[in-house]
Amino acid sequence: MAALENSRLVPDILREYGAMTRAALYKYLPSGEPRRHLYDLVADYPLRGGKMMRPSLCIATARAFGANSEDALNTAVAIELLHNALLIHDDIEDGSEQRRGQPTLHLEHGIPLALNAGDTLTLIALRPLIENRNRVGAAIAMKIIEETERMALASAEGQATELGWRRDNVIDLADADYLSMVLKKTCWLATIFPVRVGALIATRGAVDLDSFMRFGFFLGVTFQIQDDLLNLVGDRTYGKERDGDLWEGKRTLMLLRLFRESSAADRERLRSIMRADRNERVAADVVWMRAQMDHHGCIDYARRYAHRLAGAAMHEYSVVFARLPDSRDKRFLEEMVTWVIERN
Amino acid sequence: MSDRPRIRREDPNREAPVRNWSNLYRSAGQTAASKPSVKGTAVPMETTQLATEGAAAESAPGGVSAALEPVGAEAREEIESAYRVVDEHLQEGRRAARALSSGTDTTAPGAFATNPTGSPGAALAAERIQEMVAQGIRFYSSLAPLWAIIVNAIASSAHASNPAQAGTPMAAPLSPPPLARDGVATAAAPVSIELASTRMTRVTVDFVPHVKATGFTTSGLHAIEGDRPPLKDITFGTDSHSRPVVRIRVPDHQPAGIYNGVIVDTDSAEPRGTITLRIEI
Repeated sequence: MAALENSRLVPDILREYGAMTRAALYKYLPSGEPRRHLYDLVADYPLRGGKMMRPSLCIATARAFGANSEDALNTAVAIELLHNALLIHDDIEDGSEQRRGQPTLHLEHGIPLALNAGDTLTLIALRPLIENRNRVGAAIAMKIIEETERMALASAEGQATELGWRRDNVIDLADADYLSMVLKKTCWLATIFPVRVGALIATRGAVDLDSFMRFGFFLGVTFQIQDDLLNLVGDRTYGKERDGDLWEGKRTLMLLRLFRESSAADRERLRSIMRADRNERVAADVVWMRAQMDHHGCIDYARRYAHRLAGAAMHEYSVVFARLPDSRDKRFLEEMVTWVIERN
Repeated sequence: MSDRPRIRREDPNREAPVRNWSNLYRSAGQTAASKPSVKGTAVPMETTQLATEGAAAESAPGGVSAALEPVGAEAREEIESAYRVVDEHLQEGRRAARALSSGTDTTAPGAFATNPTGSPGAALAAERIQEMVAQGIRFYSSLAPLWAIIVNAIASSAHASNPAQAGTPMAAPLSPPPLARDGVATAAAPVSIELASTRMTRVTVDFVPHVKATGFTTSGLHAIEGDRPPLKDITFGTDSHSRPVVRIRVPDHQPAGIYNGVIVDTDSAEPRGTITLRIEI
């Protein structure tokens, strides 16, 4: 097996399956009127690009289990459309200002139009799921819809958990609380769902989909911690607002660690800063929080944490994929674990 | 030959080979469904480092005692905690699936033939229309009508493709009408049915759970033809969303026919609905 350090496999497959998914996805974007207030907005986030990790995981898993790319393509398209729909809603709910290197949709067009575009993207995502019946049969198409329902509920529950923490200014949380929230908010859509439906499509339901849960969870949570780290230390290619999570009061592993490690006085200051709305927060507060994180080693703590979880993901990979014959897609799935923590 | 004693390497301080990291947390054979054998594949340096850092050997789920090197307490606690989180979620999901699945899996081997559009699994999908409409459209409630259309479209297509359904257990459709009782508006609530039957069985439930009710019971389902034994294995519960679940088990040798029973509120002894079950040949 080639060393991962210089492997191009992950970026190559992300590009390849990403292009395949994008080409199919564009066919589902309406081109008629009303463009200015709806369909141009609907197409905005998908046209901005993105890593295409989610659809690639779906296609690669299906292929690793012996399916054709085309069998998984509709589902991959639906995954990417739903991801973009949720991004629009998340950006509004989080008060985010940048997405993929540009202003967020609601900052450009206002919240009502952005919300409507997000809803429309969700509706559009249903069409490829309907058309799945022509490719994989009605029973599997139905099963994919059931999986989609479960994923969507989990995502909504995870988002609600985090929004609730922010509204009620809950900071005194254990790392396990963070993991539970990320499992639902991030992992289901980002990793668990794509892998589960990929296997479902290829095996026609002959494998227990729960056996993919742990791999998806460890991969997804590693991805999220790295994403949170990049928000604090990433370069300009990251695509989101630097320190945006601190401005938004997002509950990250680093923030929870900072709260636990802080003195009573600093905890009180932290509580006070987090209690304020984003637009009431000042740059000095964000600079102070960032400096405190360095002082208490929160960045290194989270980085170590991510590496350990990546180790667990590697192990779970071996549990569920090891018996499959060697293939490019199987190696991609394995190398994804390293990629998620090495990306920048 | 030389008289010098042979140089012997000391026996390694271990009882079993430790060639890779893959058995650190739980053995590969312990996964629920897939039981892959983990081969001793060469692992890149980066991979080994990641895994070793993440090792929390003994007490992780299905843990194995071997570890490449001592694992710090912090690492152990982190990984154990992470496993607890995902395993609790798995249990939650399994409980929900049991409550929602009506005791049948449309994609189970044997339920799905090689031709997907003409399979018993497809027919089962058709039978799940009502249940899916009731349960499957919680995702974005404002979009519910469209989801209902989709589910119906897929399911009716499946049904049309294979009208033969004999010999397969199936889920029960139900759509209780909204009613008002005791001055309390009791809108029709989704009710799940878990039906365990190897026979072709149809179930209709007319059930309006009372808002104050804490439990339900039935004296069993009795055949219209009085010479047949009643169905007694019927229980009531709730799923993870606190919605009512009716669980019915049909014995393999239960005579064919139509069976009826009344659902009774255990607090007030008031009737709250009926169950009608038809067992085909």
